Amino acid sequence: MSMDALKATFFAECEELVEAMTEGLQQIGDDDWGSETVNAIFRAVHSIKGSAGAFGFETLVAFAHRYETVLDKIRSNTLGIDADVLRVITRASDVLAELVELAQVEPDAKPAAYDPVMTDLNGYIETAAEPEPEEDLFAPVAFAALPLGLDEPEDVRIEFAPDASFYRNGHEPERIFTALGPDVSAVCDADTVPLLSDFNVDTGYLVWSLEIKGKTESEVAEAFEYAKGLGRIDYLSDDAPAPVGPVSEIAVEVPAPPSTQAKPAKARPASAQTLRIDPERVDRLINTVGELIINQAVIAQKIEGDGTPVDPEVASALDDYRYLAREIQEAVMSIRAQPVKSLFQRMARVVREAGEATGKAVSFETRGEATEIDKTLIERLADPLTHMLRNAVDHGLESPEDRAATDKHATGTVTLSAAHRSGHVMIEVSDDGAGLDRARILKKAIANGLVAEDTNLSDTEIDNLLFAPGFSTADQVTNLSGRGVGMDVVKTSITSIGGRVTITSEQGRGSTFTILLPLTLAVLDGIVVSVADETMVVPIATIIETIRASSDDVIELSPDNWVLKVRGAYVPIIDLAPLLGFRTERNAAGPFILVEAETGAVYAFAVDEIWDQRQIVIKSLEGNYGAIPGISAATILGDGQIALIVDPEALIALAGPTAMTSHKQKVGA
Amino acid sequence: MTDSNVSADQPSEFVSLTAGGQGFCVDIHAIREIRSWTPVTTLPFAEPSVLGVMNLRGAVIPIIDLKDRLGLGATSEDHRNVIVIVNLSGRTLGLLVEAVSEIISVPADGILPNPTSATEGNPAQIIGLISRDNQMLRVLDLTGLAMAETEDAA
Amino acid sequence: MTALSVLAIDDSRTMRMMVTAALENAGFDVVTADDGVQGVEAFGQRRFDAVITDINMPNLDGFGVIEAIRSAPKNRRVPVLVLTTESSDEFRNRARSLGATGWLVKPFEEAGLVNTVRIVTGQDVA
Repeated sequence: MSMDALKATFFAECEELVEAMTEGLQQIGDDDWGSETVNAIFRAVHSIKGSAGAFGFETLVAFAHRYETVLDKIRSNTLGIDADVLRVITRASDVLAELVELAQVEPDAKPAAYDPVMTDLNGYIETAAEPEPEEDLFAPVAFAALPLGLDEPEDVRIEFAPDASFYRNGHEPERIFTALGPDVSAVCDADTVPLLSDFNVDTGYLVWSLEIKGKTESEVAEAFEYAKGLGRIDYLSDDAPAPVGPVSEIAVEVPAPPSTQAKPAKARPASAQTLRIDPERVDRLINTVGELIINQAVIAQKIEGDGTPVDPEVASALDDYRYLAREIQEAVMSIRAQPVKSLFQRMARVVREAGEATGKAVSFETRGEATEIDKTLIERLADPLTHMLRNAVDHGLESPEDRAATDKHATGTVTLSAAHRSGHVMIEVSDDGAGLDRARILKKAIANGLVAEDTNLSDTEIDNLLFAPGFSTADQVTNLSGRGVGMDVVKTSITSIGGRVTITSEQGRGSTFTILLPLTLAVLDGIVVSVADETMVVPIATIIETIRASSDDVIELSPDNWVLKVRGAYVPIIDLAPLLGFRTERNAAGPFILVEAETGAVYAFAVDEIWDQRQIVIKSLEGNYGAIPGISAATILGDGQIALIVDPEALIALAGPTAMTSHKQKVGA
Repeated sequence: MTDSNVSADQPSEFVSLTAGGQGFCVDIHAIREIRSWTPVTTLPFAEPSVLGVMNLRGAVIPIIDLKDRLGLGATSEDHRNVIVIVNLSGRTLGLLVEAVSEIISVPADGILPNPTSATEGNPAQIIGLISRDNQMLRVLDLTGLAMAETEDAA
Repeated sequence: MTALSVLAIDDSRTMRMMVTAALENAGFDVVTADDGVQGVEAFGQRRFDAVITDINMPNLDGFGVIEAIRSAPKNRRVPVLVLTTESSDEFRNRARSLGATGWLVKPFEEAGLVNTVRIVTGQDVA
């Protein structure tokens, strides 16, 4: 077991512990907690401390210890949770999480908030006026180097009379004697052992006289450390008579130390609970499993396909094969996908810090924390999101005075959300601030020579100037954003993972930055359908329901405008086969899939057949081909054929404005 | 982009293939594998020479009818047709051709410049000629092919 | 000689790994459990030559583990070591009164842990 592997485990575990801690704090913040919540936070901090010590992360240990002490007070009800305490422990959690991150690169570094939060924590410890345990508590006490000094090696003689509790606690006298080394003579006085009839198992009867050569008293004391309180240990001075002639003697063989050290067993890797895997291996595995599934389908087809009866045993084995192959596929697919929750929790910290640094009250809301995306993407989103959120607080939200001047709530809101959007992951950072000051952006861009003075730009074009290299809207360098990183860097890092960033902004109402990531690997729930001769997938996220309608319910308003009557409401029909150019004839019979657009409008997609719902792996088309209107990505079905994943929003846009829109509310049951 | 293939001192290796009944060859380094024809999934809004996409061990790759792409009309269905999988600057494509025949080694001076070379708008894909067994093999510039394909897709 | 077996109970994966690595290197067989309840369950399944338990754990803490193990007379002689960051006398006395054989303080040194386990299991100490 290498130190690196252990560290990797430690940091992976810390991530989970920080998550547990954050979750607990959230519950406390939401006023939805009990004693187990505080306990869970305490345990998380405690575990981090315990393991961190092993790696010598002293700063982390010291901080965790203070924090834990305060949590312990809360746990034992000597400190109540009020707004102040909650604030301090929330900040302490932030600092601890940051310390964990720092420990991976710079173990002795302290985040800026370290000292103030430490002071706050100490405040609670001292107000309770309890002696603070010394830091050296964490020295490995049991194995501390022996104190140097006057304690010269000599011969030590003791008398040891263990109680029954000594035996009950799993001790054996010989074991302690053995630990003392080779030069031990032990004599047992068994005289006090009563007859069996009077024997009491709860009493220790044996008394041992020991002579230990070449040891100091403290060394001997150390060997008996665990036996303290479990019997009588008397240190006999030199002039005391040596034990002589007991009536009955039981000689104890003290085995000589073995000539060679006990042979270490062949080093086996410890049973690791998390693995770090090269993503390329996972890719290979995913592809190979895909092949396995196809192979299974081919075999099934070959055996079952010709219509002749199949030997039941073969059929059953084939079923097993199918089942196992699917199991493997599912397991493999889940390896890389992770919910964005932990990323969002880290971002909560960023927002809090930004709020503190700028003196703005910020409420941070998250949505879609359970959205699963590729772990590598999660990692690479951290930096751009950090910057975008800081920007949202620093530049997006108005100062408290300015907010007061309008009728906005003094507390600004910054929202971070994630969702699957038909083969893409959409992440949005929005604020309820003043919106982009386009006049200022344009002025600045002209001043910087980014655009010519007489240029006539649309609002969107002006907004996008924010992404121009080196652009920064702050007239003065602020604490937060004055780090020489502009939105251009954000855009570059998003683009480098295959994503796009767009801005929408409304004067006085705020701005929204939308990141759209086309995933090379993500899991999506979809309904498999036939459109003309093609098999396609409609993402489930946008689907309200599937409908097999009678022909009475399909009404032609004009040759290009058909609607479906659903519970009294009329829903525009979008016929996929002609829309995608697969066929010219109309499909007026359905079945239909009701989807809801982002605008809230409902449409009925006409398809030729609805097969089943399943989880699919998204395969990008853009790597080898390019974007296709109405299509977001592809997937590979069990038979090895590729099915395209439709992008409902894009299909609705493709269909054009012919169709009248209807609202979900009218359709809903 | 063309010089590396044509004017190297060492002999270059090419794979000769037939599309539209005519002989072509492509740089052997671009070819990843050769597969028999399997049904493809049609792509909406694709130009006619893009037949669709197929699954190559978990990757989605577009299949292009080479004959059609060269302006020689669509390849007729035939079970002997093969797909040449090529790697081009990080992208993988499949080219439908009628046959793949052999690997040929050509000295640098064995490649003649294309007399009808690149004019505006016309296939810049032919970058040279190789004379062999009384037949003229046209050397295909696959990078040019791929770029044309990208423009279509975008 | 067959390897002596040790049951290591800790809710920290890192700690379980470290303890396992240290003891396996020294020739012990190590079985791990993630919390007190699992630990007691694992203990009931087979014979162990020693138990190392953390104190602060979900579901059942280390004190509970010691109590549970010592409650059966046949387990009276199994050494139970406590491995924890706490080292106050109060804590030790409580562990001892419940029947803990010894205690180790985190962070531990590999040699120290191995040595202690060897002592309490009566294995020859190097």
